[in-house]
Amino acid sequence: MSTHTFCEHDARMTDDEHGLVVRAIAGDRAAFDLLVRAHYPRIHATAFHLLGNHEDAEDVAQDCFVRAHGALKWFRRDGSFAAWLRRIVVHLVRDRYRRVGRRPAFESGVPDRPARAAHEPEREVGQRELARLLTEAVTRLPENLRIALLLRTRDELTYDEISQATGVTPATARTQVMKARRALLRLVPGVGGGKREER
Amino acid sequence: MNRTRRGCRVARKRVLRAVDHELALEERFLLDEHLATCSACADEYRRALRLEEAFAHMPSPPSESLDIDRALDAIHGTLSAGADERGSVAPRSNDARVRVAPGRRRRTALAVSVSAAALLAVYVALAGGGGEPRPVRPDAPAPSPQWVDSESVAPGKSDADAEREAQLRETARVERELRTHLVAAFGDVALPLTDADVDAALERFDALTVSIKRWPLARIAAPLLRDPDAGLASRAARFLGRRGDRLSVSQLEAVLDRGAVANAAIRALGDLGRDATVALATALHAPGLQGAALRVLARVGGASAAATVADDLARWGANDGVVDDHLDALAAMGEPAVASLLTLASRPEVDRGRVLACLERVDGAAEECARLFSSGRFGDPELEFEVCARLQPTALLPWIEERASEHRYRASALACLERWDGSTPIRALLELDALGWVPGEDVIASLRVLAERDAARFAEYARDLLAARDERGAEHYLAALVAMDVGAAAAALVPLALSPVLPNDSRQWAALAVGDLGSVDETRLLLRGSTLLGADDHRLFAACLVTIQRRLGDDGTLEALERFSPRHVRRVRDALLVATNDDRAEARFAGDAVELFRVMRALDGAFLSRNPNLAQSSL
Repeated sequence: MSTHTFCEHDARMTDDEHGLVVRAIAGDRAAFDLLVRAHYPRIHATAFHLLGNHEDAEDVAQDCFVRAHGALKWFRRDGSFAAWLRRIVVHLVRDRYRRVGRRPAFESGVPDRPARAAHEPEREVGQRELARLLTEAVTRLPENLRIALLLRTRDELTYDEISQATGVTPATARTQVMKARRALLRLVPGVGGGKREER
Repeated sequence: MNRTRRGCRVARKRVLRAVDHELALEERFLLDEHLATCSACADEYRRALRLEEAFAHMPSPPSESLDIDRALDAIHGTLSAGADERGSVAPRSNDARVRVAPGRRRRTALAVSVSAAALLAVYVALAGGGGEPRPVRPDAPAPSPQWVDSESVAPGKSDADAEREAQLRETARVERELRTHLVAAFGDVALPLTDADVDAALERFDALTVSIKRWPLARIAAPLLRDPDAGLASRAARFLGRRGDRLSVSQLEAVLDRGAVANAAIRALGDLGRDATVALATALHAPGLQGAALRVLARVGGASAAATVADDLARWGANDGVVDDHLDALAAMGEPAVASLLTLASRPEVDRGRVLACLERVDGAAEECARLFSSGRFGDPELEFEVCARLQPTALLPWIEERASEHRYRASALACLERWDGSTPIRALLELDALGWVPGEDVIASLRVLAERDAARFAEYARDLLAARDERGAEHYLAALVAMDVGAAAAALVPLALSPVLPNDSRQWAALAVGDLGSVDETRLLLRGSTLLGADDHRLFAACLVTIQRRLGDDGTLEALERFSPRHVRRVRDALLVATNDDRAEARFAGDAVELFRVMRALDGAFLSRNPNLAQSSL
């Protein structure tokens, strides 16, 4: 996962970036390239978290910048460029969910965590199995809940940022995340705790 | 017990907020206190924590293999393919090549210039030019020839370059021909082109372009969007709308800023359908294009288009004209717009009343709302009740009844039912009463409100119950009507009194209740019905007579008794007069019972000795 969250990046929005946006609108390809370089990893990460596989994420991330290029002249310069891109990418992800079916094809592979694996191998195996079950359960959530939850847990966005990206109020975003968590507690058998597993 | 359950309910919510790092310190203390004493909630907390930890183990993007240069190439490849002559992006350097990520078929289509030479050779062979033709199966479909992008060919003198130049010349010839035919086919028609104009022009175009029809004409036509002749560019746009593909979307999107072509581009995007929704969202933000974009989005339809329009509407707040246009577009989209309208209605910056009025105009909105609410997708009960009250979807009655059973939603759920039309809410309220989900006094209060709004439905519901021969339902309804003590609903008592579906005792009480609650009109109905009662309904008839005497006086009684002999008429009237002269206002029901008994005794034998002067048919 990226070391910078969107929140941190938004906070670091500088005059330089606004200058790049202005230059890109004027047709300066180098400026546009710099914007892509600055934002591509984060946009790709968001797409990956929402779609669950590298291939689709790459496709959507590139599509996001193609769209952004076409619509740059309508970007309101008083807003955050990262937030604007994030809104586009969420829109494209939704579009993709609707086109290819509501459930994303999450990659099944779970990355190794060598440091932990060395100390607590059994626990690590359990965690990986749990992550696999969680990944499956997330695909079964309704689209809105899934997007809000993944933006919160994987992209580590604030509720205001989720609100901007998804077009709902922050209160609704908060409710969606809570509902999603509640649903996952039901859907993921691996977190059933001692009593449930024994049953 | 209840207190403990409530404590757990609050604690479970706090658990979810705790793992979300949204819990205030004070609440955290309260949660810890609860967890120390409640093992079930402590278990829930441990599960929630495990789940939270598991998020960190979900697949992460492979940051080390992220190739931004390759992504940039692909982005520019798409951009240059979409708008070859667009001024907003500097031309690609000659050595830049679009490298395609494996498995990305869409991007592959954009990078055809690299492999154009090989494919063109196939075309040349098929067209009969150059070298020995390879045997081709007669039924095999001929491959489309490849268009060569002039920017992908570097000027040079090598054999490969010479070959590419030859391909370029061929491409240029086809482009000229296409341009000529496009003008010829579309040129005579005045702009803006209607859909019928485009159909006719495409027919002419197809007839003119038989010789080049296997070329990727949509791709060749794309640069014409930037032609200085705006008329030609507009015609090319409409052509791309019909003959283009997903690639054409970005090409058309790129000319939305070209005033004279923009409207044709928007209509063309509409022709391309749902693939163009995101591009149309861009047009919505463009000054002067909003109206056209809205019309086209309404035509394209679908959930994505609806969400786009709804998002845009939220921007406009209370701008009446713009909001109305957006709402009209959403209403025209039908069922797929329902979710977006509901989301919109939940936003504080939008006038909820107007959005819900729009929702009422959407075909199939009630069924879609029923589906969405039942799935628990919306978390705004106030909005859901408001929608239920307006649309009155019968499929949502179980959902409303369930809410009514919960104390916190009961008042809202009952208020929602009170706004429903027809007899449906009566049935729902009686069901809630029968199930014990809502206290009887709350049910009666809601029934009174329904009676105030429209009393006629109560008689209608009584007839429905009797037609269905629902004895238990009818008895329950009778009890509710008596408990309501509302005169306006008394008309429902008459059919209950006269129908054989109910047992005799209940019918007698219904007849007496007409006297207590009803007016002259209901009593006349009872009188008319009572003349058909036979000897088996002896007691019921006595109850009817008590009510008739009370409400209609002596004349009414005589009319009811005219089929009997004068002797029995006199006996019954004497009984009634004694009864009604007896002032027992303080004990009305007891008095009725006494009157009833007297009248019943007076009626003894009356059915066996009818007035011979009356025709038998009156029975």
